[in-house]
Formats: sequence, structure tokens, C-alpha cells
Amino acid sequence: MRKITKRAGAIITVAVVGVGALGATAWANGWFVSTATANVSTAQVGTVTGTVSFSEPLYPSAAVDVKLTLANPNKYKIRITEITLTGNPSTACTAANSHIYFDNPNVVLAAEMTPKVYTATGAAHMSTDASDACAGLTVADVAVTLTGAPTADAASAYV
Amino acid sequence: MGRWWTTAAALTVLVGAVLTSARDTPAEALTGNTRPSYDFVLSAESISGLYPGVTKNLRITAQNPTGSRIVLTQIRAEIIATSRRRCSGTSDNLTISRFTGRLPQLLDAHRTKTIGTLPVSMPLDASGNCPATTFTIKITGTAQR
Repeated sequence: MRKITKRAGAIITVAVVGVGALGATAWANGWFVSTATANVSTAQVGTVTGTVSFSEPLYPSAAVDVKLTLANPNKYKIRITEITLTGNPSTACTAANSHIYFDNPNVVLAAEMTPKVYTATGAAHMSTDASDACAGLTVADVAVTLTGAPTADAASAYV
Repeated sequence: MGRWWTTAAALTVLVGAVLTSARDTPAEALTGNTRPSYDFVLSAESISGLYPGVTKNLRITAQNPTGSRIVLTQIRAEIIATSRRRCSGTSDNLTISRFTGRLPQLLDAHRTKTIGTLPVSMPLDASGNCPATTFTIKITGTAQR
């Protein structure tokens, strides 16, 4: 076996002591880290509820006012961006052949709002190619779905 | 002589290694919402009821259990989990703003104090899959002696 000379041993010892000292210095002056976790929970979404009525019966080529009575239980404002027919008004008068459609009402509901009435002027339409089966529809036959999203914009004026 | 040198060297390395590893070794197991390091402890209050367009503040507290003062130099935060698979833990759904506390910040020996807040907000166009979701946020603090 090869012997380590005194000189080599001294070099090795100095190097090793240096490494050890560096470790100790790092501990004494160095950085250290701590972590924590926190939970952020989001609110439930409340359903916007309401009723819809028209200023007059729908007929082909009509553009009638839509009266929306809406409540918003959420803590944030909601902009209603779309009204669509829900289901078929009757067996013969379907969503497809009634050709009823709505303009974007662009209504902003205030946060935590009790029912308020909004009017979307001329927002309900029936095309001239609507089925004859749709004659005599009443407002009770027409169910709609409102689509909206949170917004920071100012709430709309209500009636 | 040779044996003495070898023993001294081995001891020195051992002491250095122990001290170096002790620096980053957590002294305690996970407790509550905090995971203490050997030298200081961070904690944060959870918040609830966040909704689109709103910012709330996560209050961060630091505790220095040691006998010497330390300097907090960095606070970072990241979303590490959400409770709903369809609500991703990205900035599209939850944003964490820059730490509001002063950095660097001194923390005296044996002191606990609120060091600042991390504002968290939910964008107005956050996913519709995110109501009633819990986001888990990991907060990492760095300090120097």
C-alpha cells in the first residue's frame, strides 16, 4: 500500500478542514427557508332568478320590448349578455321553427339585488319565416335562459 | 501523526456536514398550516368567500424562535393545488400579487409579527368551474441570520 507523506497529509488535512469550516460558516451566516400553506376559498354562485314578459304578443317581423324582472343573490355584479329560448314553446311550435330570437339585453345587475325590473327595448324578435304553428303563443309558452358573467361595470338603471 | 491528522480531518468534516445540513432541516413535523424550519416559522391566515373582481389579503406572520435576530429577504407564493379538477390553479383563475410587506425586514429574537400581506384576487373572467373551490397556496420565505 502506498504511504501518504507528511506533506500530502498536511495538504489533505487543510483542504478537509477548509471544507468543514465553510459548512460551519454557511450555517452561521447563511440563508434559510420556511414554508407555510394557506387556503383561499371561493364563494358559491347563486342563481339569478326572474321572469320575462313582452310588451305585446310576438308576431312575424316583430321587435317587441322585453321586460326582465331579475334578482341577483351574488356578492358581485353580473352583466346579462344573452337571452335564448329554453325548450319548445309548444309541440308544433319549436325553438327551431319559431324563429324567435333576442338581442343582447346588456343589463348589469347590482350585487345582492332584490328583484328589479329592466326593459330591453325591441329586443325580442320573430322572423317572417316563423311557423304558422306559432300563432297565438302567449308569454307563458315562452321560457328563456339568461347568460351572464361577473363584471366591474356600473349597474344598469332599473325601472 | 498520520492517524491524528486523519482523525482531526474526519471530525472537522463531520462537524461541518452536520452544521450545514442542520441549517435546512425542519425541526418539527407539519403542524396545522405551517411547516416550521429550524430557524423561523411562517404562517398565513386562510381566507374564504372570494369571488370574481375582488381582492383579499392573505396576512403573513413570521415567528423567530431563535435567540438571534434574522432578516427576512424574500417571500414567494404559488398555487400548488385546487379542490376542483376542472378549475385549474393558474393565474387565469386566481392571481397572487406581490408581497406588500417591506423587504428586507428585521425580525428580532423570540418575536412573532405580521410581516405583510399577499393580495389574492379572482379575475372577472375566471373559469365558471371555480365557484366553491379551495386553492392551496404555498408561501415560501427566505431569511438570513
